[in-house]
Amino acid sequence: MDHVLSPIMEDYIETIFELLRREQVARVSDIATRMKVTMATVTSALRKLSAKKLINYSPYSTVSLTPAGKNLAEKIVRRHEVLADFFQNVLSLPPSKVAENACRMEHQIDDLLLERLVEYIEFVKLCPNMNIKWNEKNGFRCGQDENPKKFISCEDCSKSLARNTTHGGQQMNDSIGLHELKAGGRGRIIAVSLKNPGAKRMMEMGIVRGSLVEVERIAPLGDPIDIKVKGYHLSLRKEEAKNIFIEIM
Amino acid sequence: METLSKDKISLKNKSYQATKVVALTGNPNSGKTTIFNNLTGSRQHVANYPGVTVEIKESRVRNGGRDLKIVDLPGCYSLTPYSKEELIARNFIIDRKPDLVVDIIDLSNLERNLYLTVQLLELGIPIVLVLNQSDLAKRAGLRCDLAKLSRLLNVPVVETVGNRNIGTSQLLDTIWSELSNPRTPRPVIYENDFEEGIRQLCGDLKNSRDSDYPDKRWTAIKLIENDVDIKKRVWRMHPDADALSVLVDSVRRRLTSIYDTDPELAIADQRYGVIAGICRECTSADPRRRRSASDAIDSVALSKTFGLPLFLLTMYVVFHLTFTTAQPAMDFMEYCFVFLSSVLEGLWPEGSQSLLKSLLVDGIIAGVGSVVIFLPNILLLFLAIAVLEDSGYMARIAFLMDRIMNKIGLHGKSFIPMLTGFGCSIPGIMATRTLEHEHDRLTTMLVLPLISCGARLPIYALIIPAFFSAPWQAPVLWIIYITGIALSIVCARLLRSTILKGNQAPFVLELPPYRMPTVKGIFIHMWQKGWMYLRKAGTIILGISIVLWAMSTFPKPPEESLHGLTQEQVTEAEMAYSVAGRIGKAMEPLIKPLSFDWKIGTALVGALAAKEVFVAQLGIVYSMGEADEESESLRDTLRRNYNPLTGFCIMLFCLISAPCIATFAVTKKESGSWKWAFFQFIGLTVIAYIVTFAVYQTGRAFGIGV
Repeated sequence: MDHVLSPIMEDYIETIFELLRREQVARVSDIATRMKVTMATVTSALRKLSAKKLINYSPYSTVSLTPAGKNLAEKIVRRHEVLADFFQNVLSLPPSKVAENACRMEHQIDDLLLERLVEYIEFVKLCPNMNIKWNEKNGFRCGQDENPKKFISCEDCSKSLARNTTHGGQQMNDSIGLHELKAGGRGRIIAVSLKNPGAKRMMEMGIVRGSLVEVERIAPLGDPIDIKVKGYHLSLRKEEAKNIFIEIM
Repeated sequence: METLSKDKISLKNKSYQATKVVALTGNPNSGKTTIFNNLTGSRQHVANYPGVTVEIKESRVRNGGRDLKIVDLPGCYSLTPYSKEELIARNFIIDRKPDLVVDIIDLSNLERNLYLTVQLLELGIPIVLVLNQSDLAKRAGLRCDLAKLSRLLNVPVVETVGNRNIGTSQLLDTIWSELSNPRTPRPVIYENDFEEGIRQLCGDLKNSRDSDYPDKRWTAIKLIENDVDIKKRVWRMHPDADALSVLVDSVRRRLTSIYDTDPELAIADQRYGVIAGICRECTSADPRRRRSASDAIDSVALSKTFGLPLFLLTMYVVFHLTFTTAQPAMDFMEYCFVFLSSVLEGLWPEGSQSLLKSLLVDGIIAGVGSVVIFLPNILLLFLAIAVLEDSGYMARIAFLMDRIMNKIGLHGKSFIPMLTGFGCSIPGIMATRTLEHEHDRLTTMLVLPLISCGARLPIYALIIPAFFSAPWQAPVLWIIYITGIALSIVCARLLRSTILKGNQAPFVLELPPYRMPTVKGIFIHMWQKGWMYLRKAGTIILGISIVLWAMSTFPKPPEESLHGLTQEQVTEAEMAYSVAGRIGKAMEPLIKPLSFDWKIGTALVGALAAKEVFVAQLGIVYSMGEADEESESLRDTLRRNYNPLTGFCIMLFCLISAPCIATFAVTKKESGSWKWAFFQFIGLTVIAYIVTFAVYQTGRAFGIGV
């Protein structure tokens, strides 16, 4: 069910959602303070929203969102977050401008545009190559590879780039992924990629820049691998080891 | 230690406030539970598998009129929680604010263990550092200057050898002196840019009602690390959460641009930098690199050639032990129960219709007894699992099996709960707590009842000899077990690709050094699990046995309708008239397409209490008196009434359908919602219906087994 709401009404929904999330309760007075309007204005807006079955409201009581209202609120918040991310991390807008613009634009953007933006942000974060084209089959890709048959994943591409570029003043020519090491191979960690959800965990377990690692063995079925780091044995999947770049010693 | 009292102490206990609380924390596998047992004399299980302490255990120590409560927390690698048990440990420390934290460190693995320590230092709670397993470390050529370490961190340091109970009294003395005269630990100082950010955030946190989170500096660091749980707490308490949120974002952004990586990773880098410094100052290692015995074992146990065969051999031994070795003990238990019921029956005159006798013999002894005779089975299985865990091989099993489990959509660590499931689903479901990823955990939990548990064995033991000739008996049993495993794989894949979609959790698992399991440790483990099983028999199953007995006894048919019937016919008529019989009859149209009649339906209702009750219940409907899976007369009756196809369908349905009530309750508790428990209950029953229907109809169409 699609509700077409005016921007101001969407702002009400968003405010109620925020209030509920932070304080577990949304009072008319709080909404008025936040929106910088009078209580009477809030009351009339709430009636309209209540008529659209987006909120549960009766006079003199607190306000709650209906499932449809909550759904809409989450959508608005997501639009806001994506836009803010885009302004901040891709367009490098000053922080003061980020929220302001995102608040204005969040009401106008439709789902397709939003999803494209998300893909674009992710792509830009990943790919250092700036020759970007959209392609129906693979989404955003660098123009390096027009032929979709020749398509290599961004992951492989950025890895091969990483090998040939300098990083933090240190030559990375000899860097390889930990998964490429054979049993018995040793190396020193020079970088850990953040794409993997387990990156943080791995770092807390001692996989940090400068640590020595040794691949003790590979499991009989080919995965995972058993590595020695900081004097103890740790088991990792190759998929995760791909994100650990080492220089061979 | 003079008087030791164990077990849980309720928060309502009046003396709680006066009692000092000491929390034991440390990395998994650092020997916390051993130290806990040494300190308290309590019998907590200790295992050599990362993540065994899944619940918080408390115990009291009274010493010279002073009272101490010692709490054993689940192991964690960091104060940023990844798994549920790490969250339990972390939240205990920051919510319950113990008076003292004892941080147990495996000396032979100092660097990684200190990672948790440096975070604990930031909390501002007094700490006692315990360097455990110092004998192993010394043998490996590692020396540590305790005085220097103590000076650097400004905390007392004690050396212990947990498994030989060395250093316990010294540790207790240090705890007391630290409680009466606490020192403030010296926190780690980070690089200037970080300190700048921490200062900024600390300034803002000052204004808030900060009872919901601990030390300001610690909280500031957690905000920089983007710790979701802490963020939520702070947002809830802070008067101007928006401003703070903007500030945190700007600090994080600045740090990101300076370090060219996420602040949480940069901070991990710095902590390990500090730790490397500490280790350089305090330790000296023997430069000769020793190849440890553990490495030597692994070079065979995990090798390409022997790794899998050894694993399969181990599994074979485990199952042989559970199912073959346990047989004489089971026979003996059974004999005991038969004896007990005949003694009880002897108390009443022959042919007595006493309700009390019926309740005791047909209700309680038949119901509880059928569960208890499995105790030898369960104990031996847990014995085997205890040996695997304590020796360190269990983590290797996860390592060997991860590739396969990953293909199924599960995690290498799921293998252990599934394996436990062959004994009993309940400890299996509880063991899923070690899984870090919620979706992995739920999937494992939901499909676990498909692994044929020990309680289903009596059903197979009754049915298979009744319908299948000797050469077919073993293969049929295999087919049933394999069907369960195959279905669990299919269901796991299905769940992971539909409602429990999501990224694979990373497989980052420590492989602890092998250790010789101690007899005491193994027996404590076996006894605890066995006790849990017995407790289930004593509570849930006892209650349900009584309910089921009442259901199959009442209401009584009118006297005149029984006139002129033989004793057997009376029993059968009574059953048909009772609530259970009526439920069975009401179900009949529904289960007819599966070839089941109302008698089987009644027994299936009974199986909800515990799967093995099916056998006893079937005995009652066929007026066999007390029946068990060895009962030849019941087998004859079954053979006369049903064909092998129906027999097979009964086993199939019992295997797949809704798990027993106790499993249902545990799933609810562990998943945290009725939703998943009902989903499992109904889902499995629907699958059971579909599969059994398909098998029966196919079998009938092709004339197999009819």
